[in-house]
Amino acid sequence: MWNLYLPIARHSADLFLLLGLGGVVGAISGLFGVGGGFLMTPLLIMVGIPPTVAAASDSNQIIAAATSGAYAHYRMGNVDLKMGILLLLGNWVGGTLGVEIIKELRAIGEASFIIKATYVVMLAAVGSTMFLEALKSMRKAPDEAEHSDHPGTTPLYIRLGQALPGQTRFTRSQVTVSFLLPLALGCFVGMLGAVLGLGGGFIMVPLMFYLLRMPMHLVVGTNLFQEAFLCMNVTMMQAVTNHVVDLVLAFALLVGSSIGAQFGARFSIKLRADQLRFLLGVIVLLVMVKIFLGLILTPHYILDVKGGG
Amino acid sequence: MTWNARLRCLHLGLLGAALLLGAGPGAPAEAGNPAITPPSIEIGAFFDGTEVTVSDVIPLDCEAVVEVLGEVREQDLMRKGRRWDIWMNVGEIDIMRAPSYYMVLTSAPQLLGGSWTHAWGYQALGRHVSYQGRHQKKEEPTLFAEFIDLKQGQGVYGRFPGALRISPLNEKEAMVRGAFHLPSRIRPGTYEVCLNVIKNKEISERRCMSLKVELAGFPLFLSSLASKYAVLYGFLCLASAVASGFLSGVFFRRIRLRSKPKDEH
Repeated sequence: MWNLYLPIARHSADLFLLLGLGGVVGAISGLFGVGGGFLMTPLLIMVGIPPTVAAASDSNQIIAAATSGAYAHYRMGNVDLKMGILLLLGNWVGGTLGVEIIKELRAIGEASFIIKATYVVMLAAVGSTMFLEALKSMRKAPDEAEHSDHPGTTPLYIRLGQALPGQTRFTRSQVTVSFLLPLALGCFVGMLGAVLGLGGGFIMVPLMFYLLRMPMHLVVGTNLFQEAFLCMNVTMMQAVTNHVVDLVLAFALLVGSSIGAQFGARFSIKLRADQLRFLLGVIVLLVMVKIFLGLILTPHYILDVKGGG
Repeated sequence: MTWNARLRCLHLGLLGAALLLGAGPGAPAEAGNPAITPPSIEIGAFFDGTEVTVSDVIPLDCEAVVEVLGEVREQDLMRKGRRWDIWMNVGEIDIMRAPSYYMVLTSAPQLLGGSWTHAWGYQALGRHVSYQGRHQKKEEPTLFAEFIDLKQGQGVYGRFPGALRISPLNEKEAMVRGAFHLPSRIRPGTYEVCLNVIKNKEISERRCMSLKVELAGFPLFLSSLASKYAVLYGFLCLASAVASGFLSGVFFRRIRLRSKPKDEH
């Protein structure tokens, strides 16, 4: 009775399971400002949804969580529109380049290995950096950690960024950086996102924090803003060219994730910046371990349906 | 009857079924055709797979084997292999002339062994399929075993020795009855349900009926929209996501505003 038939995935799934998955990933999305694709897509594959449908429908549901989360953050003054638009422009350029790169990798037959290896390396680097840095920050006096998002001396990469032309003041974020930097970051993450098949929020969030020196709460809102537009583009492309967006699946997930995102966004302001980074670091490292084990442990089936069925 | 001949019969049967759709596929047994319940399957909004019962009247001293076959088509698969201690897709393998769905049920366990393996079951399927893609001839039995594993895992292949029940009706006839499961991932199409009657260790008769599986209601509407009007479908996906996001935002804001005066007290 409570199983929904998913007409594009050609598979049925428990309604409450989908709502629950949406709710949990939506809460994480609202809490950390990431789309949650790096979590949701593997979870959907685990419940039997074909990978191509899982990834495309996930992009669709991220729009709701990102719109809902971005709206909630915007009302709290946590979205830097100027920075978000520059990141989005770079992201679109990078995404187009990434699609070409993945075509070349597939042609030489090494796409699968390179994608998974890149995934593990990126997650390990991002997760461990966030985890260790947040741990260091949490060990300091609570007052110091609470009042400073970016404590300590100015690192070399910041000084290099300050030497770039086109220095621009981003009033909302209270930072002055070259406008080329968010464009380049957006391009890099867009390229990586296209190669890995993800929105790339889990990479974008630490880069915005460490390289652009934005306050953590503005990082969360601004990333959700740019991710909402990015996923709209991906959903449209997937619906028109590959016909793999399952509206029933996406709707069940987005009902859960819209509600979860609201709780996440509200809870995020109750946590300190270093606590948010610590939690996201732990989640990123757990996903990395799961993918790494998938690479080294013997799979259940040696044959698999091309494109996931 | 050889496997090739039986597949030709299946194709002819499917054509016949298409012509007879007006008469209703899977109608109650008539002139020795097996009865299928339900006679056709509609995949609606809450479809979660279904149990299908097949029954027929056979001579009292006979055994029976039921085969259910889906459309015969090319199966595009990826093969995993180990490189530098890491598992990855190492090449494409296409398995040709394998049915998309295959179930075999027998009244006696021995009907799936011995010389009967030439007539039905996985070994009979294995003799018929061919392989394309980078592989060596000696790897084909392993590839076929892996293919069967995968299909059984998906719930679309199965063998059930002794799953058919035979109960006497009178001194000359008996009722044979069995059930098989169509999983939710079943593809719409026409399936062939064949009853083989075995007398004195020989196939005395083969009776076939078609079972039609089709999308209906909301799944049919969405599936048609997605394939025929992809741009409209894409905009519908975007609009529903944006609307849900904003509606939940407004809803939660109202809840917060309503709870504020209570908090202030």
